[in-house]
Amino acid sequence: MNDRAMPWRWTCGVVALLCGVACARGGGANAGVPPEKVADFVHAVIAADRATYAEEVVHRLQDVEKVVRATEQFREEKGLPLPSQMLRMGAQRAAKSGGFRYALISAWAINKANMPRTDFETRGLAAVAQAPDAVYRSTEEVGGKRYFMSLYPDVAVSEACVSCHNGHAESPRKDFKLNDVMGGVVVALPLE
Amino acid sequence: MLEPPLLLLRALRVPLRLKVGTLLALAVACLSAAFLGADRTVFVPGPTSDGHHVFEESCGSCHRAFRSVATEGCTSCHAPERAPDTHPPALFDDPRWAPTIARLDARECVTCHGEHERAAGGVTVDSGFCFGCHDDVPGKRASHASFAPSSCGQAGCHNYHDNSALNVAFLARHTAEPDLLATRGVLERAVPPRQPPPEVRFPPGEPLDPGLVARWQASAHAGAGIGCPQCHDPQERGFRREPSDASCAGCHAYEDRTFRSGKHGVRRAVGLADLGPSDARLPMREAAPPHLRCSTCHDAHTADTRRAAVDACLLCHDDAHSRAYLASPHGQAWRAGAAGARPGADAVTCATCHLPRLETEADGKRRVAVHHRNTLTLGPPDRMARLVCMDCHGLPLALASLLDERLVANNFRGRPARTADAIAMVRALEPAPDGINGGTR
Repeated sequence: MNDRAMPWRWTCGVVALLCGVACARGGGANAGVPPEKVADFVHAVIAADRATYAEEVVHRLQDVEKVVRATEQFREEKGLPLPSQMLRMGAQRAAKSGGFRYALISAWAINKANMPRTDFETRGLAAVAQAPDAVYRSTEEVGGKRYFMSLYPDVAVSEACVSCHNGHAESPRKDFKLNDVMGGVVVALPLE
Repeated sequence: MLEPPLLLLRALRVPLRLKVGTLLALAVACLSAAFLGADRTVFVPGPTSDGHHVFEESCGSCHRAFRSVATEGCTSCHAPERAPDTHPPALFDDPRWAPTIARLDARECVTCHGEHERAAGGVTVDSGFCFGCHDDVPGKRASHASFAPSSCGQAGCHNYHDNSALNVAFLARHTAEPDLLATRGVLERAVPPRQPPPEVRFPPGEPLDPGLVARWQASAHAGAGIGCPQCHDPQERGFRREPSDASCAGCHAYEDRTFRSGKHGVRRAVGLADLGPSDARLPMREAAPPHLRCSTCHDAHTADTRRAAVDACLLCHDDAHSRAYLASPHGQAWRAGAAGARPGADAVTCATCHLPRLETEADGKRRVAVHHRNTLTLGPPDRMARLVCMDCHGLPLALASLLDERLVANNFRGRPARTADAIAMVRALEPAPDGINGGTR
């Protein structure tokens, strides 16, 4: 876990992401990679980047070396973005170049924008809350386009996730514990 | 105007069909001439917004040929105002937002900023639009329980695109600040070490002007080694008595670029004649120069930025706020300050607020530069507060003063009538646990 490993992790992540997108865009012409597998590739990159950022950047610099703090107002306070903000910024950047989308959502989101907005998201969050090892999938038509949707459980992997949500003035739920399902990551692949 | 041709056609006993055809042809010819000409104001369907009216005859600046206005056309000019955007288009370009987009397409600028109509802040959408997504706020925040949907953007509480000076964490950190901060934060521009002035070479036939040479020798230009040819003959094609602004832009590219992106310079940017007093909606002095150029504010032979920072502004601007400046506390402090070619960091001039000094990446170097986009800090008030006022003043006084129309008109002579609502509400909040942010709204 040294600093030199970081660029390689990011590079591998980006390559895997591009492979996933290429497979998804190939559709029927590139038969053999089913959409659920492509969604799994994309989610693997998202999860790996997020965990790496949380451990190697936020935890190391904030909690171990104590040189900079992760904060919601990271620009103003010259701090680090929270891991969830990092994910969302990445999602917006990826949306500009790829046909797919991903989002971090929760039934107990602090910001209402990140609460379930579609029937699929409501059903999916309920399903993964009951079965944290499962992935909820469905083909949906949204805004006149068909998407292959996958919702992966988002588990509280560190004390920082729990303490931030439990302590936030506007958090609708304040009794999270480690390893609770706090929400889900939605990966939406366009099918045409 | 059409009467003589009509009489002529009648006299010639031309058939009705031919008369109508001739009239239509004349009308098409007139409209075509207007369309191909420089002044296309005849095609403007209504009053253009305060931000765009100075170049409204340049249809192609916003409209693609015979098509609607594209968001890219807006962002090519407005990108500096949208960074970092709290509601970026990319956020909504996601299938989970499809039901919301069907109601209000937040990916397109023109959904909320329609032309050609005038509206406060250029916002033409129904003022209750925030509640399309944020209708839960009155329920979860007791302080907002009685607020009407149309009130979100009023009273300086929320800024749709940029909440960096209005989020709770920022406000909470600044609510206890005094009116005047102990440490001033106005940036000082670096002054390069003076070089010996280059040799003066007047071209043959040009009378030597000793006074002009003396002024130039004491100027920043001479101290930086800028002699006559750099401005009057930059390409060695012969002496030009009055150099164009392109000569200035050769060295001052950042200033030129930012000037063109604001109301002062946008007409030049889109290929129209430089801005003149008749283009303005604000009151202008009768004796105002006909066009705004670099030399209107800057005398290249003295490089006197005191003139550029106040005197030049008051050559043209004749509104209440401008007229009140010299008698205002800021104006009096400036007048009492030390004389010199450059206003010090303590002086609060017109330019301090409207052409702010910013630390920026300019021309490949990190430096403090004067941002010449005069509209950068004009509105909304929180942007002016964050970028300018808070260099010297606490946020409570800055925000309340900018929201007080009487104080804006008299150039901040006196105290604001009331505390800004956003500040009052944050003061009433219970302190958040240590290390926990108080929200992003």
